[in-house]
Amino acid sequence: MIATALTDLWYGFGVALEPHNLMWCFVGVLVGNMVGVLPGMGPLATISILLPLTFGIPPVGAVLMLAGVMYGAQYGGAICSILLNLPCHPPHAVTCLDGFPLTKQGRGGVALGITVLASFVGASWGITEMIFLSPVLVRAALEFGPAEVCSLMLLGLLAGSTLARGSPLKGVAMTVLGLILGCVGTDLELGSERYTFGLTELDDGIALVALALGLFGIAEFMNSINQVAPISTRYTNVGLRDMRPSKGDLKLSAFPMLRGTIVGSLCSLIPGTGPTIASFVAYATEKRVSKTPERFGTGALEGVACPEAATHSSVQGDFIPTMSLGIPGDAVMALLLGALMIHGIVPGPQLISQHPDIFWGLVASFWIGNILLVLLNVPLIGIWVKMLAIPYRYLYPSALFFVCIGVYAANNDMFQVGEVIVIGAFGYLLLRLGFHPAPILLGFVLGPRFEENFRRAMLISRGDLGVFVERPISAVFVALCIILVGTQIYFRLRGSKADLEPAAENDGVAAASAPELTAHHAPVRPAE
Amino acid sequence: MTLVPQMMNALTGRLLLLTAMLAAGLASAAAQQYPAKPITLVVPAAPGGVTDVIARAIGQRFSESFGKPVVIENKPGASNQIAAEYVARSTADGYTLLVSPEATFAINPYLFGKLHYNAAADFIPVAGLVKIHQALVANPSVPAHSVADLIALAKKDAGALNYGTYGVGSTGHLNMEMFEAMTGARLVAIHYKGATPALTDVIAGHIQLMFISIGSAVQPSKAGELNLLAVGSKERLPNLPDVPTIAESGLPGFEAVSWFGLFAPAGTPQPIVDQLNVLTQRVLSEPSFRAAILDPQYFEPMAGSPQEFSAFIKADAEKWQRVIRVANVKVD
Repeated sequence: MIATALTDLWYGFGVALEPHNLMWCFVGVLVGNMVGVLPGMGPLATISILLPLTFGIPPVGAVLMLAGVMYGAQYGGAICSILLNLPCHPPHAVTCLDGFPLTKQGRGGVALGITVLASFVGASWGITEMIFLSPVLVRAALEFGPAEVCSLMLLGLLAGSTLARGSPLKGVAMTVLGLILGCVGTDLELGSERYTFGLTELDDGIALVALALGLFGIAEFMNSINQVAPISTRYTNVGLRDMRPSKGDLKLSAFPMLRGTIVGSLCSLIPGTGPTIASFVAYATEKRVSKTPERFGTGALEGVACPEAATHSSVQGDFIPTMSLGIPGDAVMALLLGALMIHGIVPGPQLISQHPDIFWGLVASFWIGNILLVLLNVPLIGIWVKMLAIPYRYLYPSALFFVCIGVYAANNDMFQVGEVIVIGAFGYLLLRLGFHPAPILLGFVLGPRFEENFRRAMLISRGDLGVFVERPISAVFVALCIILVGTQIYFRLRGSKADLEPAAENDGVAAASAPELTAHHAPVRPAE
Repeated sequence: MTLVPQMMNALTGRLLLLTAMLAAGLASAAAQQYPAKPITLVVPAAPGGVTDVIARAIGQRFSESFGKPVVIENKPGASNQIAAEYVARSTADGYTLLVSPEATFAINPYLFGKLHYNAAADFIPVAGLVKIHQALVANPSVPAHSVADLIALAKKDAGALNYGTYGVGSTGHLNMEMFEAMTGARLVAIHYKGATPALTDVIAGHIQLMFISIGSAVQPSKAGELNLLAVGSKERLPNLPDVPTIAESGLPGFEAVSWFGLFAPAGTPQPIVDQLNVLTQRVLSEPSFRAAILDPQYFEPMAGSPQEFSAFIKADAEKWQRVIRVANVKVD
């Protein structure tokens, strides 16, 4: 099997290295990378804008270019998250948590360097997986039915609710807020509207892009208005020396990268679990396994390397169900399949045998494209960091301008621009009160998928809750949930006396109202 | 002093006359020169879906023929209501058109208590585009190899089989409701956010059945991942002669078909509507268009004048109204 895969891959390189195909691949990654940097302009908007251009070129070139836009945009997506706390694309929201503090410390360049490296590692594994394991993985992925996905989402919610720094109680409160926001929209099983207040635009729920950009971008923008001077001097304080990651940095982020890669590739296999869930789960996992979880949120390089590797390995892994089954993992994949259909190629299980040039050419182009992206991004880091030297009064308003365009482009709807502004104002309020918005996003992304699959599992089992423990994969996740909650309670009970006192010293009021507060979970206060 | 109002009156009169002449001239010029600027095709679905693919394929041919760009604008959401409302409120000059599946016109009016557009009064049907026949597929583990087997199985064990839909009131739901009503079989609906996740679960065997576009069913059934039980067309499809129809399998008159059409806001000048209709028919009958877009997906081109298309919609709407009433499907 490996020998045939290698022969096929060799053939694929032959296709991808044909001059015109190579050119389209380069155009794709370049455009994707540039557009990815703009806040809110995700690959979806870019590909749908570029789609008409591909009508005139052969299908192989078209697919290579559009796929290039997609993973190219992921490379660009982390840049504004790290430098400006603006998640250009929802998967990168979690990168803000540690990336932006790093920038504040003048280590934004290092964070970007690590990101490029993590992206390449993650993507490389994703591609390797696609070449050698896709038939096996597709079968494994089909084992994930409603019950399994439901248990997995529950695990994600439990593990992730202490995602951000600060009081666990506040973290849980924000996760619950995210769950509530996720309820907005049409009830899937009944078709009735929930919390839409009669607004047609809310029928399909709150837009994820609007929520991510509002909570991180706009809220942070409003929060930093009063502190223009101190931050902007710190921003520009990036020396040439600081741009390359040191050996220590590389050593620190090597394992997080690998862990992120594994989490990302696992997430890509479960149908409908896109890169956003992958990066959040990766961050939460990394924080759990870390010996120094208290560093997370203050500028831990691991907190950048791990989710970025996960995003990229998930994006590449998403091609597995898309290409092998004709079943797109997310909206961007659906769009790529739509592009194939316009070229008269029907996606499906027989795509690989009927159009080997497209499948293997695409796989080979992933390697070429990712190498091109690394070559493109390493010299660009210096330029991106220079962006911070632009005075705040120009930089942030122009970023806001792109936020509005990006949010509009997602659905061609002004309503979502309003949504992002309202959410931003609300996010500012939360930041001021010491609530971190990251768990909101987690609850918002995982909650609806939990609910949807729970109800589906219940309908299929005719109301028998036993389904979650009778099915082996689901049982494993449920057991992990119990272990997670159990150890949490155990450590709190055992360590409550020792932990309470220093916490009380740090912050008497918070400790009194939240007895389970631990010393290293002192609430984050916006700098004043 | 009385001179001024008189002069004003005369001036206004002349101005009015001039405006009227200009307007008349412009109107005829507009009809002759249509299109003088880019045309927008509004799609009520996300990029990449079937509606989007159809709109882009047609739009590309339109733009080649007109020599003007045709822009695709995706406005997904709220069961097509956002796009429909947007087009209904656009200027009726032929530059903003809607490419829509049947739901907007033949299903939504009976499904929703209140709509943000009037399906009958706000639009002129310009031309039918394509029909997509829906296939009844089952997971290979289901011990039924024909529609008759399936009916027997569903009756023997009432409510044991689950089917996937792509939402309450979607055609995937209503087609199966119609099937249940005609056979007396009892099945359980499991709703998904789109046809692909539902299809994944049928292939994986978490649920057993669903109605899905024939184009999406052929490849997985050849690969042995699905059982293609029958197709919901009136007669067997010419390019799939071995696949039986549901109608011939003991349910005469059963038809499960989706269609997509081109619509203009009410008040669009008739010459423009006719021009677009003629062009659409020409595109749909081009052999190259058939070979590239229609045949690989098993799309059937629709033909006919705007009037014939209106009559077709009316008949289809009556059918769905009946199905929705019998099945008692409600969305608030």
